[in-house]
Amino acid sequence: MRYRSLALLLMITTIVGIFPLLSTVDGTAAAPVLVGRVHDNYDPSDGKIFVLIIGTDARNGNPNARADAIHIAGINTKTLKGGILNFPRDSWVSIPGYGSSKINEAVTAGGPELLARTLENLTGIRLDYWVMTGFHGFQGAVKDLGGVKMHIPSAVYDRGYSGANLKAGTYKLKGFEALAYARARHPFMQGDLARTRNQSRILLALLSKLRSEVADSPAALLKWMAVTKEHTRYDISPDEMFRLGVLASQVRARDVANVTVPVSIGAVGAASVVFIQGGARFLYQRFRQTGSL
Amino acid sequence: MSTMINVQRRFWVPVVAGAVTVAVALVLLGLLAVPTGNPADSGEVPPVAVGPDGEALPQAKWKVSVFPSGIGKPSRSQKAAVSKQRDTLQNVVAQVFDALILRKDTGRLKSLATPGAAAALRRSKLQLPKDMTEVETLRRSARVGVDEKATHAAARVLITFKGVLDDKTIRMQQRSTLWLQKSGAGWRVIAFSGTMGRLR
Repeated sequence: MRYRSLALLLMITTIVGIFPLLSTVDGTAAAPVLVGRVHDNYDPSDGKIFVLIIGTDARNGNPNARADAIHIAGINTKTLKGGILNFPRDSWVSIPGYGSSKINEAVTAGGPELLARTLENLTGIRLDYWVMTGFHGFQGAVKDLGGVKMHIPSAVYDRGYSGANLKAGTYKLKGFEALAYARARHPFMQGDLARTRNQSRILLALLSKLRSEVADSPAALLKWMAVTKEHTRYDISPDEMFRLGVLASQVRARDVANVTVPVSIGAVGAASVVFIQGGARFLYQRFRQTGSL
Repeated sequence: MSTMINVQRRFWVPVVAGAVTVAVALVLLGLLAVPTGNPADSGEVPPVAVGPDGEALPQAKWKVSVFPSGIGKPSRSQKAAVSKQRDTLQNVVAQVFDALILRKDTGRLKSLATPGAAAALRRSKLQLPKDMTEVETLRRSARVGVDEKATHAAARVLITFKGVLDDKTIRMQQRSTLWLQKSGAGWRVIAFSGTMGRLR
């Protein structure tokens, strides 16, 4: 009896010890969410705010994090209509001071600030803030918010890569499930383009969740702020974060268009890339002028 | 010996009685001084809140609850920080809505809100209908969540009132949200939203 108890205790200890390693996709922790202001003189001209949202593959043991998710979220503060403009990570662009390269190299070369300058040059849109997260920060934030309800149009199995194992339907994704869905590209015919679009869908689902919880109880925004502080490093003041949070809580997800820049698939040398098509300039112009898409 | 005891009793009884009297008086004074949980009222009766014979109409007591809001159970320091701000927050919320509904101290909105928010509040549909008189609030309540460091707050406010408009008595309800930020020793409204409509 005594040996059985000891064996059980040993088993429990082993499982409890291993579980934290199993709970992350690759068994290692990663960077928290980072938020910063792009320009020192914050100037949301004409009531429009633009935020660059960056998801990197940052994790311990990977110092050269690259941007896997690149989105510009804009909002018109008068109409409360907005848009999320998505950029595939393999987009071939000009990076200031580095020449032409895939857009996701900008973060590795010069951090979120260089990516912001790259996109400002490309789109003519003056960015106000950037938000950057790695695996761990995103997963931790979604977990602390109690998950995110999403519609998954078709089952996603991607065990060997992102770890996604999601059935079709509408249900709440836990932190690690949301991360896996945001990373999955192999199960989709459109590959990275589908992944980019799904990342925006997650952002919009989080926006819906925020709005719904705050409509029930305004104090819920304070919980969201606390979660953000827990998983975020930022150099904007808490007052500014609060004001942005208040603004975001008033926006309806259905008033935010989810658009990926038009691209064509190509190659540069041996590297597989995508080229942003000329028609994208009309998107940039509309976004710049109205804050929505 | 018995004389000494008698002397001592004669001495101590009045001293003890006096001490008890003073203690009771202090307790009563203390009770009067401790905030009752209701925001301070200047006692001034606004013109819209008087009846047809000039009598002051009764107004519902403010019921304001202030609570810590964040992730999980609030810490001791969070509870202490929120407790310190309780009275100030109650007063700010009450004064904003009394200014809108009872037209009390409307000039004070400038000090209770940022300039943009104050101007927007004065223009908003959350104000008492223009020609309404004999206003009697039936319910005034607010729930105010405060963050960990007691520097940001969110209030959900509900006010039900009746008044006379175009010779008819009508009942109305206002539901609104205030977003507040600590400013120096006080608090200011930085944003708000809400609706006001007739109750059938």
